[in-house]
Amino acid sequence: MALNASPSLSLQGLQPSLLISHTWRLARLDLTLLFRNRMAFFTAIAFPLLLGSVALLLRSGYVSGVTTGLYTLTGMLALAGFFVTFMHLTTVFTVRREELVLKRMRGSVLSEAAIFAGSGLATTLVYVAQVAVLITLSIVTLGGHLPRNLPLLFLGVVLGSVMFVPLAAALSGVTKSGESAQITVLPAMLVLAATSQASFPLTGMPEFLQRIAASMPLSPVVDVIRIGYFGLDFTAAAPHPAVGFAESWAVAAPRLLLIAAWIVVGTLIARKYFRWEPRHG
Amino acid sequence: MISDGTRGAPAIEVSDLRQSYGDFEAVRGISFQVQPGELFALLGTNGAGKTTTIEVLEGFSPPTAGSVRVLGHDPYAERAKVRSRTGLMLQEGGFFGDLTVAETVRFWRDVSPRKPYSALEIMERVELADKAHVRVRQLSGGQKRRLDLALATLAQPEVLFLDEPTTGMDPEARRNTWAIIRDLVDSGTTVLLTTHYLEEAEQLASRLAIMHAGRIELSGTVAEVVAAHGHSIRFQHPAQVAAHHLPELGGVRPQVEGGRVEYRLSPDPVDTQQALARLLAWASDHHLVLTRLEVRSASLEDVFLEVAHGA
Repeated sequence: MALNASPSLSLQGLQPSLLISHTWRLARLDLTLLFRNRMAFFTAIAFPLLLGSVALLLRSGYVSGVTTGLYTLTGMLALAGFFVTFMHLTTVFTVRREELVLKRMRGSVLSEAAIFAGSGLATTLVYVAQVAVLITLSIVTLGGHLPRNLPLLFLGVVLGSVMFVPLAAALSGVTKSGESAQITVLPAMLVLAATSQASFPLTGMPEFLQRIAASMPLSPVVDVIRIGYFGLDFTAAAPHPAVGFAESWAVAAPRLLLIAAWIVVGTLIARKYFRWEPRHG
Repeated sequence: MISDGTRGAPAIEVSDLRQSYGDFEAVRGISFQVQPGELFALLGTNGAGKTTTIEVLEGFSPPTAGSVRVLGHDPYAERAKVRSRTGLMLQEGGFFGDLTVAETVRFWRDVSPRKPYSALEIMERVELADKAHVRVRQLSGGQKRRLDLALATLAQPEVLFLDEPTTGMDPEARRNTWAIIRDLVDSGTTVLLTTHYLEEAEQLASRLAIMHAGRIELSGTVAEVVAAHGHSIRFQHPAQVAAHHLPELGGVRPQVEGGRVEYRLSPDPVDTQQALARLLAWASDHHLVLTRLEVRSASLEDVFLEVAHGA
């Protein structure tokens, strides 16, 4: 089978207007289902907010030249995307494959691109709303401020979420059931959270490990969000130099490119591992 | 090579299709055509290769060898061209369990390119309107089949694939489903149906094929398939006649099994009539009364069982 099968994620025959309307309709459907399933609601909506709220308790101390509370909060803004999009969609794709929902969708007029885009759009909307809530809370309780470069922060959040869609699709391919998704997601969470500097800087690590850590998927998302929020160059060593609005785009550009590279890599891995149907018995 | 599926071109074309999973060859070189407006049934026991065949035609996987065409297109490589004109009913599952019946119908109607019916009409047609606000997860097996049929047909597809459409339905729901399928065929829909209910094929199919172990063993109209099988004369084995003293009828020796004598004759009714006359003359000559005497043409079931047992 694998020999003559063309790539399972194909973009052929796409009609842009249909793609947009189907994506939107699927996103609405996914949001409805997200609020109806208790497990999904907890993973994708409640947990990331709880996680972010932890930062609100950190009222003293400084890390990397900013307050511990805001440092952690901006890290959690990135980590929330991991739960909303990556963990939730890994479960969604796995359960829908095993329940033959993906098969039905693929046998319909829905294009493969719309199926992924719909689910991705739904989680991204949730994620953006959570980011808005957490930033608002940071202003109220942590003496935070509006992001210095709001469009950059927004772009980091959206790209980070988009990046997790193909990665979730790939991981679902090696996940047997909805329950086992928690097990397959766990190693990814440990690696990505530990390498991302979401809650602590990695300056104590050997140089080459720092470099590897900096190229892992979550790291550039954390950096872009922090550059956008603080207006400081988090790609340079602490104390991070202040950057203006225009300059912040320039310092964030390599990190944005890295996220884009992960989108490409994730798509390639998904092409190899993602499955539309359960394995034949 | 322009074939729009209407000008004499077959709606479904299968040529020497082979399909393997790893080392297992589920379909071993089958060919058939389905003309527009026809209902073609694939019959067979479990594992005969019916579902594998229908799934290749639905475009879920490319053929391992051979070729398939639906409405003139390759259903796998040209999926976008075919999908909007076909409807399909999976053998099971594939629903969002947390949606209600009405939400499910509305969603699939919304994304459909054609919307000839309202959501209510769609639910009424399969008698699920009273379940509109029930979560799909809570439906019975038969109700899920009906919902599936509703989704498969809501866009008036030109070609409809039905994989065991009435499995799990009670007799009344089955009759209702048959009526819906007949309506669709009457309005010009081409249907490919798999089933292991022989009555279903007899009721609905204009032509059928019986599959066994990945091959088509027999195909044609119900009458052709049955006629090719011939007639049989049977009676209770008279105790006073040894089996080897039973007469030959038209050159056919009887089979004696479980106290019953059976002559399997050619499909030609003339042969049957002559054989019967000869048998009755023989019985009179020997002052025998044949009990439980019957002459019958083969039923689809006879043919099916013979194929299924690998005869």
